[in-house]
Amino acid sequence: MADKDKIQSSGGFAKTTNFKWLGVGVAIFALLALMPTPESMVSKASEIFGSDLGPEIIAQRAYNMKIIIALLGMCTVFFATEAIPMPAVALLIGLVQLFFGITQPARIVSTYAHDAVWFIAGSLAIGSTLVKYGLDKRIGMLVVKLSGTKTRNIVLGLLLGTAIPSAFINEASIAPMYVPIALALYTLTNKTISAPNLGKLLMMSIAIGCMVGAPMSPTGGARNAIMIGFLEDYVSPNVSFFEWMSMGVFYTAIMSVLMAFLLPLLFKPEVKDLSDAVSVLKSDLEKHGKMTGKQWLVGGIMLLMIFMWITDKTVTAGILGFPLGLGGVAITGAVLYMLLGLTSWKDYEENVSWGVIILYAGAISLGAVFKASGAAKWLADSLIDIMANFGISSGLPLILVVILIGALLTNLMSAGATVAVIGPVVLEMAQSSGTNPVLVGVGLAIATSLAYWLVIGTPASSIVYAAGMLEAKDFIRMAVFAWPMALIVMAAMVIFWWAGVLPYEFEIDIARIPGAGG
Amino acid sequence: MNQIIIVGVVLILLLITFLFSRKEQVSKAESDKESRKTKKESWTQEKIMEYGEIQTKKEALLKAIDKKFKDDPEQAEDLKTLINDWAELRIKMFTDRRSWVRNPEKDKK
Repeated sequence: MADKDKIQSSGGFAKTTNFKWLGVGVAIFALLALMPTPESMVSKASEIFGSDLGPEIIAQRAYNMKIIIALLGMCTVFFATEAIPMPAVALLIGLVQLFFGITQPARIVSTYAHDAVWFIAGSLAIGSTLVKYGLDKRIGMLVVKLSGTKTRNIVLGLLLGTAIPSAFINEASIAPMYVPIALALYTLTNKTISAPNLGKLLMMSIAIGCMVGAPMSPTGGARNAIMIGFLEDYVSPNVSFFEWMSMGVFYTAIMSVLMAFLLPLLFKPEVKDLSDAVSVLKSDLEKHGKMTGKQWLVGGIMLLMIFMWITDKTVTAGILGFPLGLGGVAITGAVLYMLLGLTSWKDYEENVSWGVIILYAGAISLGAVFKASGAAKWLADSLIDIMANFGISSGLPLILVVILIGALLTNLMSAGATVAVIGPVVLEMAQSSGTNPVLVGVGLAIATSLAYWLVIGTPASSIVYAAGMLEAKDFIRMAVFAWPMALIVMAAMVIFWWAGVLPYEFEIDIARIPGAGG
Repeated sequence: MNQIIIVGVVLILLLITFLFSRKEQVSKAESDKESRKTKKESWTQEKIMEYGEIQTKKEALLKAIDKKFKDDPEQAEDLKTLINDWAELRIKMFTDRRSWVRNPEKDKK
């Protein structure tokens, strides 16, 4: 999950306050906070915290629920509009808890702390070291070497070549590395035959590859780590790295193959063979020489970390007697790079997006207070009551509805924000309705990768769009076919892969309820 | 009843927020793309000299100075420094514009 300066300067990290949207956010907060506390909140508070607390305390707890719902509404506006710098939203989440007396000052910092935050920090540091040593580019070179010269094969190569690294390194680092490769192939071809469609096809393959790769592993995006963080309260043992990969690999593999067929149909390339362009590109890439010893070492440590993530609960737990956790392994890798002199703290300071870490720590805090205050339970039960009228309040229908909501919302705000805002609600809905929280949570996280409709849907989309070959309408044209197709693939994944091949039931797994034997 | 109205207003505000903020972000992305395009177009109007051309031109100019400023070694030295600086800048300009694909030096740490 390596982020560079360019990521820091986008996605609401380099912006100053937009007072118009700040006003809308504050207005929503005020409207909800000043509204009379609904009777249903008071009964829910009584149900959760026990009626023996006394009416005043129960009323206070219900008021807290209302403030947290107002906070959620305000955060939704800030996440969608980037009205204030994103890390400021994260800190505001704690301040609202503090100023309204919802969380005690001594406990406020602990609401930000979680293994998922360590995991994000460590993964970003590992990713930044891989980029520092140009290992991302080595992957690009390997793709050019292995893809052959046929346009179709190159498209598949780009899709897989971006998808697989995107599962381990932030897509915002992968896409800019591949853009020059695609531009070189296009420019070299365009010298003899005008090939605008080829340019669009290659660029779109990069964006899609990044989008379909990220769901494959927890390191594919901070949203995946956040979901694991939220799941901590609902399942025990929590979802492991290997478990997530086994669930996500189906989507990445099937979508890569399907898109390799769909994209050339939508952007019909003018040339079917790129032999000349590929041979020039190969000779350029050969000038980069062979991999150095340090590059091998950096790559080796990354592979070791992946191995440790996958085997944390088996091999590591067998040796140490306990697992290190996703965060523990990630920080081990980040520190190991420094101990071996491969990178410095200054590199981490400059190349790791610390704002992202603060932002997602804030998301963890929001999730924690959302659950602890009972607001999540109140909202989840209210929604379940409405959904029950349509017969979609539990089991497979609920999972599919959550996937659909995630796929819609991710086009309106960022994927991470979608998980941060609705993750705690849908997990509570799963628990209340007796649906497996793992399927709901991982389903939501994967669905947030479906930001196909807009040029600003994902960092990768913005990066390929800025290269100048694609128009906004090209994304819509692609999304008209690819978005429903991805939803169908997701539905197939839930029904045939998760419930068919993997050992998951749609109903809650009693053995994994925290404190019930898990 | 009041609560339903408030929730309705909030939902409408959220919907408006989603629609308009995305529009703003898309137009920002479009203007970024345009400015990038303009910058690239301005490059095409400049005279591009590759590494070899710059070296040839530099050698020719240095030879001309040696020939024409025999009597004024101090001025000749100054001019040579200027030409060397110009050549370095042109080479830097040329390499900086190349992506990592065509510029292996860019990545060497």
